[in-house]
Amino acid sequence: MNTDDLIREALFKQADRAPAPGPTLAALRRPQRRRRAPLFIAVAVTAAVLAAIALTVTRPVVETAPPATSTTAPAPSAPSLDARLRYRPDWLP
Amino acid sequence: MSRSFEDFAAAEVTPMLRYATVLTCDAQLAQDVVQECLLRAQQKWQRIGSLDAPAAYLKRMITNEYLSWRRRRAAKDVAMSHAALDVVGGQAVDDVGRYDERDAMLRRIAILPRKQRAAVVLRYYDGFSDDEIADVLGCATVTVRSHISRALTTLRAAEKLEEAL
Repeated sequence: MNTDDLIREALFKQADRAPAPGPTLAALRRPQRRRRAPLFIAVAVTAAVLAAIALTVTRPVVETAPPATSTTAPAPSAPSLDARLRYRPDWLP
Repeated sequence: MSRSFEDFAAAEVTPMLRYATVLTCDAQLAQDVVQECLLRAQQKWQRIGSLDAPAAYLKRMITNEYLSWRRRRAAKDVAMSHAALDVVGGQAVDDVGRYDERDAMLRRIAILPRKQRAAVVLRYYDGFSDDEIADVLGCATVTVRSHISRALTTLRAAEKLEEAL
């Protein structure tokens, strides 16, 4: 028998040793766990969006100084407070 | 219209298992590989089922799974099952004790490098042309010819050595 025929016969003999298809088909019918990666990514993206929104909403508003023609009495100046704050709190007594 | 995955699996699982058993030289590993590929195909059946030749696509999946690094790592840890070892490491005798040349050849095929083994299986078991083998393995046709040439050189040399001994 030449080598090519011998190889062919050997491979077909090995193929006859294949397992029965039953267990493989049974495994396909079992309910499969869904992969977690897409859910994890969705949760991470949602959390990132919510964090961005939260930062935007709670960011302190920088107020400009009241105009000179304003009728409201100016708040007593507090040099030390103004020095620390970036805006003039006009609601202080 | 594409058929259902269940119909496809029922019709193709036996040929796939036979192919994988020849490719891996290990029936248990063959079952694992086929099962894993079918499970992945089941999840993507809407796309795979609409292909012209879903069976050919699954064959490529099985071949790539066999050649992939994960299987290579698994093979390092547990080389072969006992049944596979009996085939490739045993006396190569058949049921009545005669020297079985086919098992001796299987033993030589089993120790070929994976890509050479895959090329040999696709050529001699499936009857694929060099171009078809190149398509499955994802390489050039000239590379396929190189794999088969080296494999045949190895197999013939081993055969002559065994005959001489």
